[in-house]
Amino acid sequence: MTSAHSRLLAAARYINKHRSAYLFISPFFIGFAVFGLYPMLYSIYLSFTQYKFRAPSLWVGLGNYQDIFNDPTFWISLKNTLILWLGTLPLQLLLAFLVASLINAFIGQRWKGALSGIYYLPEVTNLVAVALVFQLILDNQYGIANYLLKLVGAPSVPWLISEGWTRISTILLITWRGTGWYIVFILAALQAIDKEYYEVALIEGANVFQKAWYITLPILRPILLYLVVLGTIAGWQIFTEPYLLTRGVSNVLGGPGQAVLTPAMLVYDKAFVSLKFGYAAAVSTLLGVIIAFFSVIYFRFFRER
Amino acid sequence: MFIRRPVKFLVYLILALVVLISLFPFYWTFISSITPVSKIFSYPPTLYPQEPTLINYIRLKVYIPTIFQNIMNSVILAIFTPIVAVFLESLAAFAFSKLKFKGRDFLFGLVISTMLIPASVGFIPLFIIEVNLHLIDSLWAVFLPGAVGAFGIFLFRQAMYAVPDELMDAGKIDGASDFVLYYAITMPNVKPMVITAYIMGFIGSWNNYFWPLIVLRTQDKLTFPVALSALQTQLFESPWGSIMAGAVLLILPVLLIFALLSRYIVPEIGGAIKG
Repeated sequence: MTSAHSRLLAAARYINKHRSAYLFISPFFIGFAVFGLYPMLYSIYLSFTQYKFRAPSLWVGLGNYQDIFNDPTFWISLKNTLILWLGTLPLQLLLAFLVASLINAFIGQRWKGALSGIYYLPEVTNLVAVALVFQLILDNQYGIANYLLKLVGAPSVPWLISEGWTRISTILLITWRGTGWYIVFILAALQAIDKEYYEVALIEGANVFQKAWYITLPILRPILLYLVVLGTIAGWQIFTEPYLLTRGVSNVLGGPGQAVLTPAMLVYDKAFVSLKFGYAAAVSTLLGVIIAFFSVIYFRFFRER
Repeated sequence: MFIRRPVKFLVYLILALVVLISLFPFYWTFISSITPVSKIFSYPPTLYPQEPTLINYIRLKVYIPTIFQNIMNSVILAIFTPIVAVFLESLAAFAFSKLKFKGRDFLFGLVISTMLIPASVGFIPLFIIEVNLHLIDSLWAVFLPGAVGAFGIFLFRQAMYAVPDELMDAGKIDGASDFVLYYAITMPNVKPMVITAYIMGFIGSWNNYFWPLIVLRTQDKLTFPVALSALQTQLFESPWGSIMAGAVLLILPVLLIFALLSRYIVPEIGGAIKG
């Protein structure tokens, strides 16, 4: 018996001894490998090719990436995502923190759950339904939003018609939906903070803002970091909200003036409408790199402080 | 602590306002669904329903001929996908948390690290794979990717860690196999997590839009959200009354689940942080 042979045998015996462990994880892992891991790796490979149906793919190296960088639509989509992401994430965090703090301080135990549940409801509601009703509410002529504005004497707003306001409408939709999720998270974190800290602060004579700055925020920091990372990952992949909000209202992908065209929408369009898989894979890979880049920065940044 | 009355009142006002903002679109959806089409675009719009009618719901079948199949597709997916997902995830999580084997940490790290990569990276190859497997335009195309989710393993592992090892040892002494340990001892102790994971899976599947949009083609294979959004791009005037009726139907299941079972959804999300 060679040593390779005996090592193989030892491995086989090990696996057999722990067979239930490997058995238990295998269905998940097989599915995970097929539907999760392999596609990710294959996507990177795809980005360097021009995919051909029923024919071997043509290797184009960095050709797709060159085309992307020369395509003004791509840069527009980056700009849009930047606006949407920076418009929604800080807003949601701020609102959520304020509301969660208020709930934590002023609402009794019994109602905390019910209240945060109500705020969370938009998040679990089907986005299709929500986008549709937002289209109805924000309709330029017949929507209730403009009507209410008129009632208070404000001019009617071209919610889904002008570029700027389309962006604002999208931000509204995303914020309306997403803030509740942050509220639930932050509220749970707030409740976990030891009350003793606040008692000490009370004795020291701290006011509300000092308490928040010196006690609450530092303790909340890892949670906030987690939320910012998640929010960034989500923010850069925004697709459904702008897509559904502008669909049927504007014939241009991405709304009037491509105002809310996001890279994810670009991937969808190039891949499943134009069937340029290689190009789309390159865009999605770029997207992945950008997001990974941000994740790394966040962890570095917060670890040093 | 003295909280002055006016402050309390202001706070309650703010929170009530937020409730109003959160719930208003639901109200509007419901009202619009029972308003006849001629009155939906009436000017000035009113906050209360005018001439309530159910005709929009009836007409929904006209606009979406395959509506019952579409709803059925969504229902089937929403019920069965999380069953399989929870089973696979909890099984794997059990192995990761309670069993010792080589490669355990590496494999788990692999799963976790993929959570940082956006899912959209894998969509295209996934599509190609499914095309090659002739799964496109069938419910399997939506079901299979949905049955494997890394997040569930993470949650289950956290929950299973909390199950005391003494129970495991007691079971082993009685000669229980690993599967029995999983099924009869660990799972009952993480029941809240199981329920939560299933409900979240149900909601996620029901609300799923992007992927079914891509892989489902023929009318009667579509899931409900996809079928409904198709009404947006009609060549003639969109039938808003019926669209809202469809929206109500879309929202209803989740609303009900939420109203009855929110204690499983809301606190658990907070509990997941502790991990």
